Amino acid sequence: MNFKLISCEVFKHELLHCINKSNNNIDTEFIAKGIHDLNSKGMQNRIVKSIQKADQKRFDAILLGYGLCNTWIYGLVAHKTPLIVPRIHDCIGVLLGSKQKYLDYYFENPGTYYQSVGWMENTENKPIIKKRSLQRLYGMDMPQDELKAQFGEENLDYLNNAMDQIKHYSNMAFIDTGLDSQHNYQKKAMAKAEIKNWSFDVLKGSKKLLQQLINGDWPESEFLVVKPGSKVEQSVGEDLMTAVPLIF
Amino acid sequence: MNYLEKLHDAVLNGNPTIAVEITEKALREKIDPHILINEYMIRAMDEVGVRFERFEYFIPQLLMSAKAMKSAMALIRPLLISEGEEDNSICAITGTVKGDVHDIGKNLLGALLEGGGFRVVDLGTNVSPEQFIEAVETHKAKLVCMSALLTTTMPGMKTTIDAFKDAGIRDEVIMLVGGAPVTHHFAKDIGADGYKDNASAGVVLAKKLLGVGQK
Repeated sequence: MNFKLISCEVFKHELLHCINKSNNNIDTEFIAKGIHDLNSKGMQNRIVKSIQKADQKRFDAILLGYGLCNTWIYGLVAHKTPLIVPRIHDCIGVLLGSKQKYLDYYFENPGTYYQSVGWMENTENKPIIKKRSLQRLYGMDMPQDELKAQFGEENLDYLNNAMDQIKHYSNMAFIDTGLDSQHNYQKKAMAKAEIKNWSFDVLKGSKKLLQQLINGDWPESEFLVVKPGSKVEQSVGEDLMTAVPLIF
Repeated sequence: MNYLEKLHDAVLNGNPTIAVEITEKALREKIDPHILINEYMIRAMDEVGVRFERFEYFIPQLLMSAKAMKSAMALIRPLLISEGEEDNSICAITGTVKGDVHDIGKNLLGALLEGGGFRVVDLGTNVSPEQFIEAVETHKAKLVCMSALLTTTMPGMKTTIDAFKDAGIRDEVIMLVGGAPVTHHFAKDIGADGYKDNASAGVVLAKKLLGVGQK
């Protein structure tokens, strides 16, 4: 089969590994992780741009290396080529290989900061993304000296604490997907957890879902196949998303 | 009483020091605390909300206005209580649903609800359906505002609404939902009374649904 893969760069190493093991022809395109910092519409627009280009060629399907990732996926339309999406919340679930495994750990350990090699390799956003990010839009990335000048030193702690998104976090979990480079990253993650005085966990990851995506093995329980002329809609149930014909 | 306009400006401009100074002066001069709240501070916070929605104000400005209002209210509230006055403001319960420890959006909403004249009881983060129900009963709340930042925890909003139904008190409260992954579609599907994509619009919606402060 002849597939186009459009994926977040956080899965790059794992996906290249899966592609090597597959008989399918895969044309790859990796998109910056930073687009997650845009609003959902902005993130969708960027991915749709790549989908539209791929749609002009004759691929059997376009594989998407994304989950719900907030809500970017809702409203996505398949025009000429079927779109394949893992039914999963986000990259953490993908790297753990199962939605249930993710949810089980998640609810047992609220306030966990997840890390993987792909995440840690791609932390710095390009200026153009920073400029359009939600952080910038709402004034949450204001430099310290600017905050101090505008609101006074006496209010700095109050503002920093109020805008700290991870102040209630207490644990870091590093996802081990068996990559060669991972030892160094795991050590770095552990050091970060120590600085924050968080507990540290290593979770056994899995390339299962990514391998299935590449192989064309898409059971309905784990993948949504969006046929041409359909669009993705939100589902409140465990299936997370559904495809409906465009006329509705 | 011309100087009281400075209280309005201090809240609008997010200056807690001036807000406290003016409030202290006004209270020394026996000015009715209700006038300070209703005619100056709520009016200022309404304007803060409008500016936030227009992207003229950003989160730091909103937080500073909330701090100014809170600092002034800290002086006023004990007086209201010592007067033995019954607090007839509507009680709102805020909380981030079970499993979720994010609270910026929820705290902004709480600040704006207080600024809008609500009595806010914040349950914090990682709040179970049982805790929401208990809080509503204890505080005789009329409004429940649930927040979630993640798609993993968002179903907790449905679980909470269902728990209110099971407890037979769903119809006694207005239940609103918000947070980055929440949509109108989701809010409708889980049986919430409403959703807005920002805290300021959330307060306007809450007031509308509860029939208060209609302009």
